[in-house]
Amino acid sequence: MRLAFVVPWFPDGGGAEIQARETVLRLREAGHDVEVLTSCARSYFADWSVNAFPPGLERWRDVPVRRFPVLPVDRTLLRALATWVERGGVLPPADEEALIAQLLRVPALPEWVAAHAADYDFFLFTPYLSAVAVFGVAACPARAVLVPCLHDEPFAYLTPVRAMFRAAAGVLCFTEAERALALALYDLDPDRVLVTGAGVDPPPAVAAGEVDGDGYLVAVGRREPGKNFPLLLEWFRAYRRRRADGFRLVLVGHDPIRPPLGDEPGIVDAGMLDEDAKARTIATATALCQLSVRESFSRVLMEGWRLGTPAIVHAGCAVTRLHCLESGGGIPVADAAEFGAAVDLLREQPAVRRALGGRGRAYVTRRYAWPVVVREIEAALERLRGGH
Amino acid sequence: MEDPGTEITAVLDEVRRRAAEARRAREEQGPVVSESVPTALARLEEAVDPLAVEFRTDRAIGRLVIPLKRLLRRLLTPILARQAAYNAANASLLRTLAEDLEREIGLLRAEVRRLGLEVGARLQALERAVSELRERSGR
Repeated sequence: MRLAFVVPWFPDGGGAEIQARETVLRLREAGHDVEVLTSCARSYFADWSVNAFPPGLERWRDVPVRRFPVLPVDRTLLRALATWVERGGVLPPADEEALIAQLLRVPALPEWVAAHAADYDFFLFTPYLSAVAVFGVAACPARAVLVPCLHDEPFAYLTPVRAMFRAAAGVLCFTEAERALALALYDLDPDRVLVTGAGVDPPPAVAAGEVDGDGYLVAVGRREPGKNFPLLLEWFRAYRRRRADGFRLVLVGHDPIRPPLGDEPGIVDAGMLDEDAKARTIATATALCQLSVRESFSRVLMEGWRLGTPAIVHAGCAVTRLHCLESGGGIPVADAAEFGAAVDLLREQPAVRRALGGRGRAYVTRRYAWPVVVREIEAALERLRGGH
Repeated sequence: MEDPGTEITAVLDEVRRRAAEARRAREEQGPVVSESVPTALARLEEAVDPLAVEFRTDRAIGRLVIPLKRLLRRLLTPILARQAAYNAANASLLRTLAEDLEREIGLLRAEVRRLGLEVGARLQALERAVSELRERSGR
């Protein structure tokens, strides 16, 4: 098949862009003709108004990458509208359109897609929340497939987002929970909303996962309210108030913690670690904590499980809760008391810890090994092609 | 064969049982707010002024360092004074909020007690009315 992955940033970005990047490589290995359409901006974390790469065709690890220039984003307008929506406010239609338009301005990309739509079997847009996806899908609806990385957040309720989901030829979801959400939010034809899973690499070789010293919990990823990072600190502090021993919370990630932790006992900011150090830190933890409720898949959870580390997740997240219940590899918790009880249980009963970690590892291999996921994507695209 | 105690349903049951126990224990201890907040506020108010920190110097090298200390204090004083004002405003706001919260909690508790008594009285009245009706109808 001839496919184009359309992403706001490449090769760097957030979880969605990383997942897209790895999927592109695996689909090419499977013999498909895959290229990438993206902007000239550096990444989600850099200035969206700056063209860090030259426009035109380049190659990244032999993958053709077509870049399109960005125009300046009105940051004040974007911040004002996004904050309003984030806090549950409703916008009039013109402001909803204005908000979407500021989510990375790359007008040349959808124009190019419209002009070349017939040259590709499908354009795969990921993630759902960007002007690149909204205007790109509108430029080639019959060949547009969304890989949305959808989770229940205020932006998912915007009218242009709903129109985009309804216009696309198909939607590929990572999990059944994400599919259920898409069907519930947008009233879509179930036959064109398909679950493929998301590929996970095999674990790096590290020493067997025995709990280190007094033991610790590990949390990996962005330190922001959207990922429930403050809640993790709150629940861990409540735990330490009840049981102040040598047990720690180790935080792995690169962005600053606000407010700063200072020399708070029991909490360690390990900062950004290289892959080996990160794997060792996860493998020897008592459990990996993932309390975010805004997940469409949760690569972080899989990183823990592939190393045999059990998980503690937020019971309010349908995606991670279902992963835990289906795999038997993690404990969903609803409040600080359940969080503390789960931590105690895993600390006191190594057999439970090992059993949960083992089941998590088996689940990742069974469901999300790359060959399995590539086959699922191929089958889903064939089904959608049948509907052309 | 795996130990049935490690099955996920058994693990979840155990977590819920322990959590319920912890919640009960916390309720028995009484509200956390009124115990920990005054102590935390007092600590916060104690540390409001960063200028109150003394630059200590070993006597042997005191002569060399004293001019440097004076210079540092002169340079840092405007910044630290501003920080002290900010800290004081924060501490004062927190105290007000904590006192408001405690007052509101007190009012809510009193209201819950009053409503509980009222509901109890109404229930008794209803039960009496039901018994009277039963007696009258001979059932």
